[in-house]
Amino acid sequence: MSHELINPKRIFMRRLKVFGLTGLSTLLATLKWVSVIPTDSELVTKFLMVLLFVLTFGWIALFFWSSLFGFFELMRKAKVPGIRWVPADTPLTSKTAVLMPVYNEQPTFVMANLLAMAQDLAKTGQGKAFDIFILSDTTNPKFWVAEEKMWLEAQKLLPPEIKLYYRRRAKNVARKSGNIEDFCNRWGAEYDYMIVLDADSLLAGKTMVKMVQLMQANEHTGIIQAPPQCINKKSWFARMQQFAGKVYGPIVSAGLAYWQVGDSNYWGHNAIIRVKAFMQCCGLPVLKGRKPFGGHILSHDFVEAALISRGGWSAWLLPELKGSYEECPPTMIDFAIRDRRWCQGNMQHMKVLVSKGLHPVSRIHFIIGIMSYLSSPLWLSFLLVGLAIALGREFFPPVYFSETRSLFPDWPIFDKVGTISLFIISMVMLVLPKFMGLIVYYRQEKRASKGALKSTLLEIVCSALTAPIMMMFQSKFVWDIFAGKDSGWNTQNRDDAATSFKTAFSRHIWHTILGVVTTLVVWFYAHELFWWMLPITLGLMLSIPISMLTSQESVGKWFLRHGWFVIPEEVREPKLVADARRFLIKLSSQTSEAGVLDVVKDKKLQATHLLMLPINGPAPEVAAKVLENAQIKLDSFINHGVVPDFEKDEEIALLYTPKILQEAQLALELNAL
Amino acid sequence: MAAIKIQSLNDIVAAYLKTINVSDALVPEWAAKAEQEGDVVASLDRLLLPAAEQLYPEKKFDKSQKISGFKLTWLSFGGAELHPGQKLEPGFLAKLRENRFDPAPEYKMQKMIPQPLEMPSLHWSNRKD
Repeated sequence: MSHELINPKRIFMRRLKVFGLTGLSTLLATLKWVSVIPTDSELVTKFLMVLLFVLTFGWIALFFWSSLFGFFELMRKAKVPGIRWVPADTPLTSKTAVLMPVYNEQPTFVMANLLAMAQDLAKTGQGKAFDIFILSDTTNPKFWVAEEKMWLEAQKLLPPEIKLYYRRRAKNVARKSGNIEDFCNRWGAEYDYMIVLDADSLLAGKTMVKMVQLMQANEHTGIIQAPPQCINKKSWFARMQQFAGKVYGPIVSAGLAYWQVGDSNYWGHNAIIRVKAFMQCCGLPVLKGRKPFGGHILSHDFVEAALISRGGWSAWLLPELKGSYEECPPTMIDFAIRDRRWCQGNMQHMKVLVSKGLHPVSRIHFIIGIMSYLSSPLWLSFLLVGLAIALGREFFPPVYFSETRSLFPDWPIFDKVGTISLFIISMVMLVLPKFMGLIVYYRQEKRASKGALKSTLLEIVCSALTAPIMMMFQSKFVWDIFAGKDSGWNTQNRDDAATSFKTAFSRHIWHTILGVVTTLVVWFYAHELFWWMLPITLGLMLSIPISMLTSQESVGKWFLRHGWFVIPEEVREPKLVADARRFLIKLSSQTSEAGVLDVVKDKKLQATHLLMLPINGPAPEVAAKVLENAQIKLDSFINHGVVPDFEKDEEIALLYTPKILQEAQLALELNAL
Repeated sequence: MAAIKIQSLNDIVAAYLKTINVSDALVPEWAAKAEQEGDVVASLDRLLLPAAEQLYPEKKFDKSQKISGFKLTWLSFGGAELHPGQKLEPGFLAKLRENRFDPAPEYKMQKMIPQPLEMPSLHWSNRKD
């Protein structure tokens, strides 16, 4: 690890402050909690209540103290210590690959972002130091052809000093991590650094240059993560996330950077990695056992950060790096679908967590990731145990006089004031960081809108309503994973399409039923809990309309017009984002839904496809019958004009058979003679 | 493909030349050089190979890639319009080379080794120390 610019004692003190205060506040709150648990509770119930309280309160406390230190860092405009900063005009003496791994993503969208980034890089005058790679794991043949088509189109629009390469894997072994590893195996030795992107990533040219300059100046640095900011989406749900990311995100990032220093995490994209360090340390093993815990590592980023740290390299989260963007899921259901995948990845880390030789901070990263999802079933259990105690009292009234004769009744003691005070403390710890974020936002962001305060207040209400729904989603995910269900690999939805009633009903009906049943049970049998439970039950009961309403783009736009959840990027779009939009419009005139027929009909596209085919690696095995059927369909198109309805594997089989593609093109030309 | 087997050699050559936007005035010359039997298309491709080799001399490209790359560059750069005779003068070839398409750099193979993620042994009998 490289902390030559910072005293290790200072790092230790930072961690001691955050974790010491987390531990101390959890201890004090737990002591109070022990005193407020009804005295007539069973020992097992008491134990469960204390255990669940420690875990859930500790989780909130860590978030609170980390954010508080982040707040102080931002207020005093402190830079992350321990890293050598360099002047902006430092020349680049290295070669960097910008990697865009894609899996069945809209090719026009991906290419528009890449072109905007390439143009922005060229403007820095240091574009020559960068090559861009599209690393495709696309399995949809139509998207595959469209990617090649977009690559060809992009060559006309690309700044001449920047090269844009394309490689598609025939077999997407180990998903994104396997894709990056394949790049490293083939071309890694050629590059000093790689900037890893996601399909929706946008990184400003200046930011990429700065990241490389920092890498050059800090030779023991393995990873630098630029915290991405959510932009571009229009639905109410997405705009709330964008606003939350803009206002609260900085203190969260600064808080993490405060105690992580040079042992930070890697979030899988919008980061620069030293290729040599990555290749030395980050070859991922296949975990023993069956899916979902065994097999290839899904959330590879945390593991790669842990391995690079184990190898003696440092990893930095630098909130100072601006111009790093991504997009968030447009609806609550899309958010949950992404969460399902991430949840499995994080649960899988339970196996990695105890691996030998990992840095303690890397283990904390794993625990934080696991707890992000495990906290939901813990909260749920906590609520259920509390409800069970209240119901138990209704059905089994307290025994005031025990069998042993006594003059005094045995009153069960329930400290209502103590419970309320603990509740208020928990709420303050959850909500206060949001207001601290707002203070920093007003102080640092000149373009901050006046509506930020009202937006924060509404966001808090909305988070309270959606939190129980997400708790139910995540609890089910955790349950499914422990039951052995694999998430599979689905492309994230990036379109602003509203959630239909049918979809919302199928996803939320159980939340609604649970909300209604709990409300009724509490009303009739534990009435004193009714108002306490209402924030939870209300969200669940209204989950269908909440999910539908927040997914609406029109609602999101209404809020925008009336000054709610406005982020500066919506008022004045950054040049990079505007350029990406312009490229998208330009490329959209080229259809993104191509296919094997385009390869047959379009001469340039066929030449492009055949030029690229050997780079894909060996063709996958295809049953003879599949190719035969595909040929019959292609023949009847050529000879009788019957538009073929190719199955996916038929289209793939044809795309892997150059001879048929060439001859089909000739046959079309012959027919035209 | 049954569709082209029933055609005459001249027709096939004409269609082939159309795929690279070359006029059918060259059909007799190309037909004479093409194989009468067997894989006619492959034999026509081979006629492009010398030019393709000059455009893509690197070993990283196999023959099929060189030919496809040549066709792509030729079509994109308007080779047929600029040089209807399909005679590749050195100057023109140099221009083509400047504008050639390169889908990926040369491989520098270096395999990443999977790193051990060993769990500590919990059973006393498995402990080495």
